[in-house]
Amino acid sequence: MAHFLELPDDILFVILSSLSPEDLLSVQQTCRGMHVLGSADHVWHALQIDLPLDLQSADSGSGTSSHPAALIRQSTIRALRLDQNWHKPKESRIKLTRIPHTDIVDQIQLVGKEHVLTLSRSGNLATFLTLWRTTVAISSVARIEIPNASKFSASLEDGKLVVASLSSDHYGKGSLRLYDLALDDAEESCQFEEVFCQSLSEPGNAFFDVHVVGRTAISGIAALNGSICYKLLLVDVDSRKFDYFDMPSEGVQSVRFKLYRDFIFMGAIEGARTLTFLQYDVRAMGPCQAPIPIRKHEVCDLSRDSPLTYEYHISTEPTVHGTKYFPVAVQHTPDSANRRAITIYKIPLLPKRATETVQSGPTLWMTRDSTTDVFCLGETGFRAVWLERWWDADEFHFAKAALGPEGPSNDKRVVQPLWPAHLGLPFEPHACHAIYFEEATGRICFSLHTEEVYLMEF
Amino acid sequence: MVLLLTSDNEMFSVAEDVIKRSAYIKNMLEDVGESDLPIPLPNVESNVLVKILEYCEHYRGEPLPASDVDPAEIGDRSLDIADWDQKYMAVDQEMLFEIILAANYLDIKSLLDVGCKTVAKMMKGKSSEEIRTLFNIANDFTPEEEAQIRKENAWAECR
Repeated sequence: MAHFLELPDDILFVILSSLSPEDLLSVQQTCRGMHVLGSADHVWHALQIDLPLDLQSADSGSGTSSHPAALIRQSTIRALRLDQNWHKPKESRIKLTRIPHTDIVDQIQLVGKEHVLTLSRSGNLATFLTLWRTTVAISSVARIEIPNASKFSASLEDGKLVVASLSSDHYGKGSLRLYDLALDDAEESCQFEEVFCQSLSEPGNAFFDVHVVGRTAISGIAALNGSICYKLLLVDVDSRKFDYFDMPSEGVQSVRFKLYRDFIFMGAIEGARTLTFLQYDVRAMGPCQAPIPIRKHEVCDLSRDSPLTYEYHISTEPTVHGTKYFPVAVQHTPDSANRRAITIYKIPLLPKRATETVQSGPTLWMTRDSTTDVFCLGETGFRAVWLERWWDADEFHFAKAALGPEGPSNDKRVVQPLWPAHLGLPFEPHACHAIYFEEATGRICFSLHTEEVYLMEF
Repeated sequence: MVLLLTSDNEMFSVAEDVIKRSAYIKNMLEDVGESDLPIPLPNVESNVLVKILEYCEHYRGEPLPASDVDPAEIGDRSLDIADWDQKYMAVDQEMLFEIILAANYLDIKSLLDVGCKTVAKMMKGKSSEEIRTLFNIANDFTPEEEAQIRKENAWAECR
């Protein structure tokens, strides 16, 4: 008489790998045999986990395959808890922490589990990068003044933090500076050590975009010379080697760059109608030659929109999680009723076949007469947080969305207020100046015009 | 025609293009060539073979899956099952497992897939206690072990 447990192990592996993570966790709890089989690395590697996991990965698009089953399982359980909390309309649990900042913070980024990095302006317009430790007693552990700093990006790996910052002097001459910091938990403080600086000498050239992932940094350059020419500066933090590249500049606008471990994407609206992303292989980019894109992804056609209404957003998180897709949120008016909508598109990093192209994901329809002021898309496009301005009521509101895959039995796609109305918060949405959202941990950082910074954890 | 001899000594005469869905038999026919001798199937009982032949008969004429495809690459990860396959798999649990074992032995990839998906689907959304009841699995954890695993795996407030 055939019994479930008498099926050969290789068949049981196939069955277990085709379950959802929730079901696999239940099966593991039935008996010892299932607990052992269900803990095998290859079951967890083959498992389809449609949740952003807080696991770093050494290669773009490699998913979870470099991690042991126990770690994937732990992260999955945490991700399931977060997902449930994220979906609750009324009773979601939120922890709020105030960071005792004293300047106006223009940009924030969460760094690892324990740190927050801020770019702030003091009363006399001096600009600072400040690193805060958020565990136990919140305190600043490193601070550096960078004159006229306007933007930064940071990436933490193996206890080493790399920060890239853009600034411009009084004559408009732009600089990219890189800092290396060793984050030691035992130390009370650490130092921003400048390891790299490049300034643009030609007038009319400006840095406009900066990204760091691991030990690589990039920045876009717009060179005004009659028409605009786009260039890219690529820096290897360890060797300090750098190269400038001429990028395609004809007939493009709204250019933006995004760095993955192995790839660079250049997004642009071509001919005022098509949002396209050129994908470059970082390792194939050699000095003194124009880089050749390995793929061109056409995301969507915007020709029926007026240039005033479309806009695209990409995640500002450093892309270190080995995700398989690069998500892009496009704000446009796709139907004839001119309703404003935000559609999530997913670009495959490593398409398996030629037919695997950009996927059009869920569309969020904006029902009110409103504008979206700050839109934070998560690294995998699974969640988003934004600030809406309701013009009809003259109010500001925070919203959160779950954009996960649609299933027959789940309601994974919802848009809700970021926190329930009955929950009194110590600040008003209209005071919000900047937001940073870390999707895999469900943490959101807000800076306010009132010089305060709050960390919200789901 | 191909002759098959089941474990309970029943002889089946089957058209070659029907049973070629079994990669095991297909390879054997290619290796041995035409023969009047029956192929013994010591792991398959006659009632299970009847069921297997029903499947092969239904898909007679459909192209065989390429043998060099990496199963992980096939990509159909959903638990969607075609209507006919669902009806075909509406059997008691014992027969379901027998079909899976026979499909594995006879190397009928598509049938093995459908069988595994059917089992996975039966577990969908069930608690560990419900899965125990479903497959008659004895709980061999000590109460302490069970409490520990329950605590580690807990992600929902009620499941």
